[in-house]
Amino acid sequence: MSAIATARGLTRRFGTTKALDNVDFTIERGRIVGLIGPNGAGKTTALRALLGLTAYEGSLEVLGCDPHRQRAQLMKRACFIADIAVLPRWLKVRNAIEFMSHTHPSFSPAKARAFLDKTSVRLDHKVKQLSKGMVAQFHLALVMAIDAEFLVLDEPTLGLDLLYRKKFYETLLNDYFDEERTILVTTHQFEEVERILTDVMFLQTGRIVLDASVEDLGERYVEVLVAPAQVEAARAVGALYERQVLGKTLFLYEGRDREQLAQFGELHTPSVSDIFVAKMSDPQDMAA
Amino acid sequence: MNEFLYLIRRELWEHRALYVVPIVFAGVLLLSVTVGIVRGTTYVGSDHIAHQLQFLSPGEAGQALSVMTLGAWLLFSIVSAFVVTFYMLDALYGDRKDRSVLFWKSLPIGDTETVLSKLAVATLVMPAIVIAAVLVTMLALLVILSVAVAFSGANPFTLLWSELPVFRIVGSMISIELTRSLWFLPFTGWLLLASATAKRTPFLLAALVPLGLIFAEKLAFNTQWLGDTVDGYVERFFRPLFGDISELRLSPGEDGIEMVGDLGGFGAVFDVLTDPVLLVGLVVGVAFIMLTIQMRKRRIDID
Repeated sequence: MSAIATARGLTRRFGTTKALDNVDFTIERGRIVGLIGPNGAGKTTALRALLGLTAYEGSLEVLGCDPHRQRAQLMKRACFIADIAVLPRWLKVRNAIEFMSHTHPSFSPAKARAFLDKTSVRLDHKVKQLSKGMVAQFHLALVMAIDAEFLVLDEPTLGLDLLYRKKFYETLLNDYFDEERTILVTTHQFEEVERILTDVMFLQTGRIVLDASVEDLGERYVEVLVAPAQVEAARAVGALYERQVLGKTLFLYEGRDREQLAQFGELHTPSVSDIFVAKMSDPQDMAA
Repeated sequence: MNEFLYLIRRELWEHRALYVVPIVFAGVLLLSVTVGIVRGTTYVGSDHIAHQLQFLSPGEAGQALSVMTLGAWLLFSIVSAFVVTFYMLDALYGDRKDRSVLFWKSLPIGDTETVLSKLAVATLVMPAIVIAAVLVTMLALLVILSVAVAFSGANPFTLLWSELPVFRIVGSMISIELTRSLWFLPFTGWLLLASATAKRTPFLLAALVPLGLIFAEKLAFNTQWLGDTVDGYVERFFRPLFGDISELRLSPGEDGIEMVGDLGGFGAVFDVLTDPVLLVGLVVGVAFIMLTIQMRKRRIDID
């Protein structure tokens, strides 16, 4: 495996607040990484730094480029969808394809047209004539027609209805992703993407609180549903998080001995969203 | 190079006013002149234009037509100055406002190329559109006048078409337009910088900062160096050119139109291009454009 992106001591200040605070991470080739965090955690800032859209402190290398100084060069091999509906309203579908085939060395107009054939977007349409979902499909078609090694998606499906969201990720996974490509995605609706992720990074107030592969998560985290009689004993083991479920208590543990936990009940692998909630919750809140 | 041409095409896709406004203006101009000629209300001096024209020698008629061209050119220049000013104010702001900047920045196009493409539209493409519009308008006007002259009993081909100073007209339009682009580079650069910087209204930023500075200078030092400098700079371009132009007119004489002055402008263009003050303007203009590129690199959001 080789690294697509490496950050060391990545920091971004806005006045006195640090949107990113001395962050280290590495993104390997062929992975689908979910960057997950609450609002204001620094997700967008991190993505913008990776894409050369903002200045930063610390060192950052993406596909061998310094993103901020070499954005144009980086974009020959990387691509991004930042938010949906950022295609200009006056742009005609046909012109967009023509423009990109003359300005982007790894863009295939034939591929773009083939992707669009599967949608209801027509070449004569202007963006302003398309629905939000169609704009997202159009943008995805443009991006998938780029033979990029690194694709960054920042809230690519925000505001779309369920049908479009499902289709978006299906298309991405079936028609685009392979072991040579790397995808980094942020979204609030990560229940929809968590099945396709290979890695997750949790970001909270500018710091990384978890950076692991999904396989590792299954080994590190375990969930047990405990009957009232054993709650005190289970709590004594040191749970990361607990909540009430139908009169029983669900404990989520990090890095605890599985045999010891098995005595309290059946062990389950928690979902990424459960781990997210557990990691993001303040332990003080839980005690209260 | 191909990429740069597509960047310019992109600008014309987005800002259709750049060519639609001159086309509409040409249409209105031609229509009103045609109506005037047909109704017999287009006068030069006290006589109908077609009636006047037939008393001229072909050389004089050619000169008369160049003066009309100059008039048309002046009108198109004024119109294009408005169009291009609003274009520049929007050029690096509009895509930040609708957030499509995030799409453009996902393409392997440098911020320098982007800014330069917009600069090229303002300084090269717009003049080319103006010149093309003037030529097409004059050609159409010539056809209309030919018909009018033919009705008055003269031969339009020997009178109007034989000694038309086409190359001279085109040559002086190109040279003056390009000289103007160079001379006004500080203004172009300033407008682009305002467009790349503004968080709300590029126009207010572009207008209020210089006005504020002029006002502050007056209050603090009771001087008006900045205002005088800008004023003098603008005047320094127009004086040699309009020195020529103001001499130039069609005046009704006893035997028809008399030509006064000469349309050339080449001497004036030479004067402007060799004026050392131009160098100062270019330095300021280039500085503004470099700042614009830096701003384009950094600023994406408008809030």
